[in-house]
Amino acid sequence: MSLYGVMAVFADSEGLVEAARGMRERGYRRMDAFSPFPVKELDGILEIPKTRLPWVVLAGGIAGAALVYGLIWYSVEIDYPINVGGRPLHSWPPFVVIAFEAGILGAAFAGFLGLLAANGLPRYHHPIFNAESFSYARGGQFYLLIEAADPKYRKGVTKGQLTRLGAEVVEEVKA
Amino acid sequence: MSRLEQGFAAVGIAGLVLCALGAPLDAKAMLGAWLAAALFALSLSLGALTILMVHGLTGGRWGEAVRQPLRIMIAMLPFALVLLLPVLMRLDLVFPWAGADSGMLPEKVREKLAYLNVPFFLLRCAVCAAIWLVLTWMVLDATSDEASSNGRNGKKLALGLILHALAVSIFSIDWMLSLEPEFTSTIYALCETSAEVVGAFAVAVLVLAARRAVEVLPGGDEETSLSEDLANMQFGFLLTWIYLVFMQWIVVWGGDLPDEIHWYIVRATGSWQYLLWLLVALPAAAFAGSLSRPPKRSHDGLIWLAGIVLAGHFVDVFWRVRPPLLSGGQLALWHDAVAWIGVGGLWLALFLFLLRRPDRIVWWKREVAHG
Repeated sequence: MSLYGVMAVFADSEGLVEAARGMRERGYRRMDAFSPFPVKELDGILEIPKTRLPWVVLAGGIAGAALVYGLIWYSVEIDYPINVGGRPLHSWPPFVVIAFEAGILGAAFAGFLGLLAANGLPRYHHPIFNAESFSYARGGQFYLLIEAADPKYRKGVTKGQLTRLGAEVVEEVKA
Repeated sequence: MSRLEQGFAAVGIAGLVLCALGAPLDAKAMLGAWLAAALFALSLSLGALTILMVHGLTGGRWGEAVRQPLRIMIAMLPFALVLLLPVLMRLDLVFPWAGADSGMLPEKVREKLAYLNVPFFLLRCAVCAAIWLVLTWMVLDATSDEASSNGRNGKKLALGLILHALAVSIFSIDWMLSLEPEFTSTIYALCETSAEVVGAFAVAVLVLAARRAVEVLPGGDEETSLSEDLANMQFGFLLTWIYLVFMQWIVVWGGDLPDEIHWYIVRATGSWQYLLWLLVALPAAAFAGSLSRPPKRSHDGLIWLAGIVLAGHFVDVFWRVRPPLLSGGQLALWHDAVAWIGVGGLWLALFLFLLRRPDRIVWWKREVAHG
């Protein structure tokens, strides 16, 4: 049975923030934190990168609009050119409306799919759920996870460091 | 009055003097230029009325923040109405249907003369002005208390909004649409209403941002700043406006009838197309800028966004009102320059004065109520 990492449980958010900062100062990089509510300081300590989702949404919007405008252009100019009321085949005013709506649709899809991709979803299981202290019955506290893949990780040493930083429980998490 | 206010007032009076000199030379050209400037000044007051009445019904921190500049714009409504008086005196020079010789008019316009005639026009104008003065008094009273609860004014404000919608519809059809009486557009009044809201809100945001650090003030949400809320609100108003203006264009384009498309052809030929491009480019720039978050969270960014939107509103009013009235080439634009200097100077002087001395609005209010 391989090891995913060690999990430390803290009673309050201050303890978690302090421990996360302490472990970072000791050189750990591959770690993650879990809390029942957002703790702002953790973003900086864990170096969570700024979201790039807005760019994905923008790209989705532009792609949707361009694709649908291109489709309309292809159908009126090449596939089925038909004279409507003496107007030019490529009459942009009504096409803009449809392209705009397709842009909104593309942006919404990009936002939905981009969010799933950025969060690594969908997935059936995560090793963190193997931790006893992370279960429904004992959850609701503040957790710091150090992955075993971290280059600084030494089983006994890491556990000792977490305990000294005030962890109530330190537990090994199986992969 | 402070030095700045005196300066603006002096510039405004100089502009007025030039207007008065220009009127005997070519009264028709002068009034045409004056009308656009006066309608722009009035549009800000009317838009402020709309926003404050809507905010009175909905509440929200965005409205409390911009309440003071909007109140000042509302308090300037009597001034803006006075600006219309020169046009009222010579309606025949501005409105084709008011001319003496109705036999020269196209048949389609002659059939409209039952509605478009001078006595009825004056009556409608007086009713609209009366409604707005009552609303001015009511809204200034309802918003005078900084932390007033909106609950007890709800019914008054709802009724006020209905009357305001009617008055703006009648007014915009009378004073703008009937400049070309052959043209009809049932969406025009809504375009005008939304444009007024956009312009008034942009002015209010600019005034607020000039005096306060809006990017650090708290917004309605924990994560947002006030500047972001204001920019998003402005974005919403802007989208409504773009949507309505585009709808009018697409319906007229789809119908392709001579009388209707003529309205656009006049405004897209003879150098007006440059203004039209500007009218497309400015809202497009504001749209693109409002999509991203950093400009909405920075002080300069918000000022830029509001400035672009206000410039768009200015171009829109000028582009809608001015083309049918302008004749005689680009040199005739000097009428516009002096009219805008006159109206703008006086407007800014009065606005800055009321901004510095908001207590004077009470005096205004009493004046309006009793006069």
